[in-house]
Amino acid sequence: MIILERVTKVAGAGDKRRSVLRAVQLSLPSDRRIAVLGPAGEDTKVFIDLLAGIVLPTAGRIVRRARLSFLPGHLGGFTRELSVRLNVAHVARLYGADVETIVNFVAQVSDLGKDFDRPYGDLSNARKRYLSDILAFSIPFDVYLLGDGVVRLGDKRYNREARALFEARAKTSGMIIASEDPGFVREFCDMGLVLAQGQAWLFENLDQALAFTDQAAPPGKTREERRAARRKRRKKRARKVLDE
Amino acid sequence: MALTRALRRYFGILGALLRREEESRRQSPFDSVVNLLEPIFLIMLLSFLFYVLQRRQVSPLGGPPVLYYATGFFPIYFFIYISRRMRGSIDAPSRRFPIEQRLDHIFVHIILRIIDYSILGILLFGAIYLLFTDEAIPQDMTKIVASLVTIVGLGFGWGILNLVLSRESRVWNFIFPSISRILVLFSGVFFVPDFLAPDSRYVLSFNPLMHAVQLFRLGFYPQYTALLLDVHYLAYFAISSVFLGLMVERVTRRFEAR
Repeated sequence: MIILERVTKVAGAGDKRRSVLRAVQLSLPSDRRIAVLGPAGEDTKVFIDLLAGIVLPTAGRIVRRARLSFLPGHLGGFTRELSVRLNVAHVARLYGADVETIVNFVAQVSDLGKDFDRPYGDLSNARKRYLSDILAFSIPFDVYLLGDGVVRLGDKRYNREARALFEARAKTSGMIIASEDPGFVREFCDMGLVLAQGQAWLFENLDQALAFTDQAAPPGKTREERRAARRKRRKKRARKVLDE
Repeated sequence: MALTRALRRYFGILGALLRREEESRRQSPFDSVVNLLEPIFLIMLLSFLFYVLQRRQVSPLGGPPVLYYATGFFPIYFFIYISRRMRGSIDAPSRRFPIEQRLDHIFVHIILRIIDYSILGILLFGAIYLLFTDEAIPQDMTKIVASLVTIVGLGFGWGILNLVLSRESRVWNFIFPSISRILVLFSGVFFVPDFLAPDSRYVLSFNPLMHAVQLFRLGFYPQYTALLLDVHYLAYFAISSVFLGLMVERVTRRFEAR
């Protein structure tokens, strides 16, 4: 059970300053797979970050009566100078998991070979993210939090293992997923949480939640259109980065 | 039961962080040795300098000057080393795992400093014992430990304040070192506060570190009267510092989380 006690969150700066949550009172079950939906995709990410503890609420308090995972793809907290093996062991120890099992498992699955005993800082960014994905799913948690990274799973050849792990965990553990992909959400989730206008609504039925999201959206644009626009923006941004 | 489980989990986190520090140190052993030798070197150098400048063969409290300066510098540098560089142990929440809290890193920082300083103290006073005088063996261990415990409290509180202020303004990074150097001057390292004029004694008596140094010296010089020493003032100041530090950490936590 994750309990939000009158949580208020003001996110963004300048023009983008907005209230993501306004004194929200909510309790989320830890044995269900919950999709976090909403007309504003950014806000659902902020919500996941709030649960993960990466950002703190402006007011109110979050009580976590379950072991929550870190976000797969989280890159903070690793030590560049130490070997990948020591880093993996450190994270396992931090979360109270069995160190030997996790290290052996990750060594096998991550397929890093000799790089597993080289400094963590030498890995490429894609590999770091991949390692973080695998590590998150190999440690047993009650609830797995998934933000932006989840749709990425299965994109690439080496992500297939992470995807398989994720699917295995999805059968037995709770999950809270912020995803803009309705297909993905339909496949894995059985409950929906809709964030709109600073409020949160929890739906037992996922279809209801999806329908409500469309209703709550600003008029004139369907979810598909917004997704397309967002994808366009993201591509533009990526192109900009590449140009630089 | 829930409490023991929570405690075990919490100590598991601290243990993991400590172990990682130890592993990083093993990666670069030279750095750690240099870090440890720095205060020894400073104490030796300063003692030598004052010995040459003052041309004094005996310290104000008897015995060789080296022991006198070492007993003064050691607690002061303990304070400086705990309260400074605390910043290095802290990162934004996105730079660490959600399960690690800012306070955990501060605790790990302090535990490491305490271990370092215990080793350093044994080395330093052992060396003085071997090279200079038999008096380098503490007469009253409780007083020394009490003094160091209050210094840990002071260093904890002021270290957090230091950390927060240095985030707020860069100027603080220049102000704090000067303050700590001035503290060395006014903490009775070079002189015996009891021998000063009453007015200066009164002003100096507000400096908690002066009391800590006096207490520390009492452990080595049992014949020393230490009239100015007020253990209650020192203890209250240390406890208030701890609470001040915890309060500042709690209040600023939200602003640091960006």
